[in-house]
Amino acid sequence: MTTRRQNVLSVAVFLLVLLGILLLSPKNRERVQNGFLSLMSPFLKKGSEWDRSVGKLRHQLKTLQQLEVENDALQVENDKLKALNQALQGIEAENLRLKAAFGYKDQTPFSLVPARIIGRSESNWWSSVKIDRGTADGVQKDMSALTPDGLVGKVIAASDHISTILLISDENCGVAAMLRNPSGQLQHGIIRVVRGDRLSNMQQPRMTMSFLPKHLKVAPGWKIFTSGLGRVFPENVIVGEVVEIKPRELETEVSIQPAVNLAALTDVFIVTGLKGAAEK
Amino acid sequence: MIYYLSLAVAMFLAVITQHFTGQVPWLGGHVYLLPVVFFFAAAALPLPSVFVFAVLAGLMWDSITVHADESGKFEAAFGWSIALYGALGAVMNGLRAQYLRGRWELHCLLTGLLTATIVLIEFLVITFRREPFAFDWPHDVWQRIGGSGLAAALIAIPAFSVFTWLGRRLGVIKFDTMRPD
Repeated sequence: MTTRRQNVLSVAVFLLVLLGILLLSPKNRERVQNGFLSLMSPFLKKGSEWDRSVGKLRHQLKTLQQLEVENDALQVENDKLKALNQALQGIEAENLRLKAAFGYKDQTPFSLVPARIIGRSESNWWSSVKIDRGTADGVQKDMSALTPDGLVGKVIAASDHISTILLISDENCGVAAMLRNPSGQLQHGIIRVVRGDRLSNMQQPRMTMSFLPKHLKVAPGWKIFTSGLGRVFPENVIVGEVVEIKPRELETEVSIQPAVNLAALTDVFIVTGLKGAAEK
Repeated sequence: MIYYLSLAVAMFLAVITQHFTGQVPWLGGHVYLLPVVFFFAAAALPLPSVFVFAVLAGLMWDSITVHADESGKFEAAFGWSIALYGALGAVMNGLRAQYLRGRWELHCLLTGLLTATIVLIEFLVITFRREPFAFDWPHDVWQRIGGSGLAAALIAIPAFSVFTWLGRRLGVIKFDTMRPD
């Protein structure tokens, strides 16, 4: 067979295979995706351990100049801390006791599954992370992810031992949310969708809340909380804080800084339900 | 066969590694390793093999990036990357004769250009799908497209050297330096 014939035949076979894959049913498509996630799982877990070790090592390696600057800063800090130490001794003991008594997991009304981030966003246009928990741990698609600081995102794919979380800074992750002024007063009747920006990423997360009434006297510092109306995210979890007001002709738009530092995210909790819901 | 398997494993490891490289701040874009390995295969191997690798690369990429939005609709058809990799791989394969003469400088440059094309097409797809379609793209978009392309072109130099060396050691790649231009 000539090379030309082989090439024509290969193009034909390629197009047939492509068509077959494009026509996969949603169930089979999910099966392929979960299969690939499962295949990646051990490698991502091992890679994540190495990544943490390298990160620690890199953090420890500093130039002489950096060490000198750091030393000066530490000396000033040390003097300050000595003064503070006396005053804080009593508070520290109380703080430790409270921390032990009311660990976040116990304090929250949600049933939580703790998870570790084992992979970060792999492309330019999608903001997601991989966690080391999957369906075997009770994690399901559309469950929400949070930290003690606030909302992180939602599960968009879950295989046996690994899941993908779409971050709140992604344009595709809309969160039904409400506003609260600095004195904690809820703006009743105003529930809007908080959405990430198309160019948002983990390093520079950008989110907006649009279509706010023109008369609303919103100001930087107002907090955004989940409304629970979307039925994906639980109610009253902090999403972020208003940082900029953009008045439009007919409405007001606000820019939001996420409450969670997405760039430094290492661990999350997956909300699997409400405590006591199973007994009910 | 071992060589082909090695390239498939390299593609898989490239996808894993991409989860840790993230966005390089001074470059402005993510480091895309999967296209580098794929475009090497496209430069060095016959067209039928290129299509096999295009199916592999596209499946791997769509498995981690194509997901349903809030309404349950998929942003892009699962498998669309296979078509993209297949088409761009065929372009790279057009320069195979030159690669077989032992010259692959142009292929490294083209790897950067085609990787930037992949990032650009990805952005076009999500922009069309999500709306509104904006014609005035901010500097950030171009920086990410160009940054990813530049990173791929730079990584292609050592990657092509290693894969070429391995291919020649295993007798899969045979340079014909006597072939006329």
